[in-house]
Amino acid sequence: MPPLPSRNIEITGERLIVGEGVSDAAFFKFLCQERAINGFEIHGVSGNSSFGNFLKAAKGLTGNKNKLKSIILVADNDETPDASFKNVRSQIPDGWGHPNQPLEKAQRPDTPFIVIIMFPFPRIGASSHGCLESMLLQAAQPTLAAQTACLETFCACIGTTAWNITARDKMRLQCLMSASFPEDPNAGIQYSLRPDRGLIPLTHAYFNELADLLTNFDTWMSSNHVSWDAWKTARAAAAATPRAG
Amino acid sequence: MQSGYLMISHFAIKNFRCFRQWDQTGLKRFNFIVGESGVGKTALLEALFLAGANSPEIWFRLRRWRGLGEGPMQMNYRENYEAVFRDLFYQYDQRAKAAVTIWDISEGKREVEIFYEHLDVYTLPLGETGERNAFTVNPIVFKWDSKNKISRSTVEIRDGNLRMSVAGDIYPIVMISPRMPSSREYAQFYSNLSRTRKATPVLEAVKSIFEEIQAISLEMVAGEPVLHVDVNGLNELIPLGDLSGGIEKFVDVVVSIVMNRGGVILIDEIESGFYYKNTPKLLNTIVALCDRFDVQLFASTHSYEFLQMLSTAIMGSERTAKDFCLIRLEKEKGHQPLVTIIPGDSYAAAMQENFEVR
Repeated sequence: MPPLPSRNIEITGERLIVGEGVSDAAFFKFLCQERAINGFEIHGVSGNSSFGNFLKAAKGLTGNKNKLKSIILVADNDETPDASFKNVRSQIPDGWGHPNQPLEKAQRPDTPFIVIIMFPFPRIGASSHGCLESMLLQAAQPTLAAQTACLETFCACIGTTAWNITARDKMRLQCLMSASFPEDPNAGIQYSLRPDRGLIPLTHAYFNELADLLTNFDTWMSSNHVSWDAWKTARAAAAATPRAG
Repeated sequence: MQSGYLMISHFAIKNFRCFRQWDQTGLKRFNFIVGESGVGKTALLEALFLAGANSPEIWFRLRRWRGLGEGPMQMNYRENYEAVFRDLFYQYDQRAKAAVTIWDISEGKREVEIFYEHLDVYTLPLGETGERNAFTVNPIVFKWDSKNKISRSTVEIRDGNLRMSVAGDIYPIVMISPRMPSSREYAQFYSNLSRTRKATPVLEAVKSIFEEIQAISLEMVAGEPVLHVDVNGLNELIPLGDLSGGIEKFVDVVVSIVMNRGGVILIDEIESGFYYKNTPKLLNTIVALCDRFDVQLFASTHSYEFLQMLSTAIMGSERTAKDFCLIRLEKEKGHQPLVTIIPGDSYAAAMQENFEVR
């Protein structure tokens, strides 16, 4: 008989993604699965104020056997990108690196790299306001075009243009999922993300940059480039440089 | 905290049981040891207990608690003699010297070294052909170094029996094992407290949790002193062990704390025998008594439920969080266990976030 699995969290891998909720964790799990990205251990905490407790626990458990090399923290910008980022940053324990900006890495000696990704990533149009649901709508709306058309009418009727972006996009995604999956209209996002439901295709081009970041994460971490943008620029430059011979 | 309070702040273990070399600082008032079965939790407690002892007799007691050495031992061959000590040494290598060193905040360093002394002494078992059975005894030596005073005790075979001396002073350290027979020794301890009018805290602690108990007393049963309790509604006093194994264990723990003011208590499998609904109260009482009597606690546990209760019970204030740590041992194939010291605040966070800490 195999041993009974523990229901508790055990960090055994080298790379950890910690989302602000179970939806973020499900999103990364399915994104990695769909994009064949391996090597990340993924967890969700119970809200954007809970990173601190999780990281304090993870820091205390970091012993000789713990191979943890990097941690990606993921949270929503909502309506206040700067404040939301600072909120996450402030929860990183003393003694660990504190990135100065989203998509920058920071590290102290003998501690893991820390990177903070703020959603939506990448920006949607010119705006950095929004949340995971804002991102998921980018893929769900083209896929569920008929339901989306009805949703537009409903939103106009409700008057959601007056809502803030986060509230609006959460409502839109939930309605879209409910309308498109009558077998379980009450399903949470973590279930709607399941690829076999065909509601939110994680192969959509909107997610390419995030997939690119995860795929090249180790290479970025081992480089001298602090920011993801700087690493990408260097990669592009290297690709454009003609090879000798 | 009173003067004279010892508290082990640092220990080092070398070639003892599953530990090849382990040097540990950062110990706290309350130290809880976790890890899977066979990883070395009990061995750590045994190492500390041996360091505090003053006779090899402790080693035989530890063997009994591990279920070994209950019957008469045949010491007529060198192999038999050495087999009694074989598992004391890391990877059974008896050529290496085992050592445990503790440093406390009052008296400094105390160390026990255990090794074979090479002597050319032949033992000839009587009544057998001498040449066939003659064997060289390299007696094992337990050497304590305390306050720069060296004391030695050698385990010798005399007239078919093991003989060993008491060497030097004893450190105020008590170990409670789930396998140890409780009654007689603890009846003696309780008697000592009662005679010197120091037993009141024991009864207070017991009554605070088990309200039905009105009094504790020593009564003779078949010539043996046995702890009895006066329980509401019963016409006679009853032996403590007949009332509940959990209450008996709790009394053992409380007696150990009260009689060992300023010392150290080692408890193997602390949750064992305690009913889950009583455990938080028991734990709070043990912590409060350790505070009151300036006792340092090392306790092992397997139970996640206990650890959850512990995080609630002991982490109630900033002071106790700072006075607390979890010593996590993890198996590493072919090597000694890996050790992580988890500070109190990280441990509390880990329990809140449902991390696996065992």
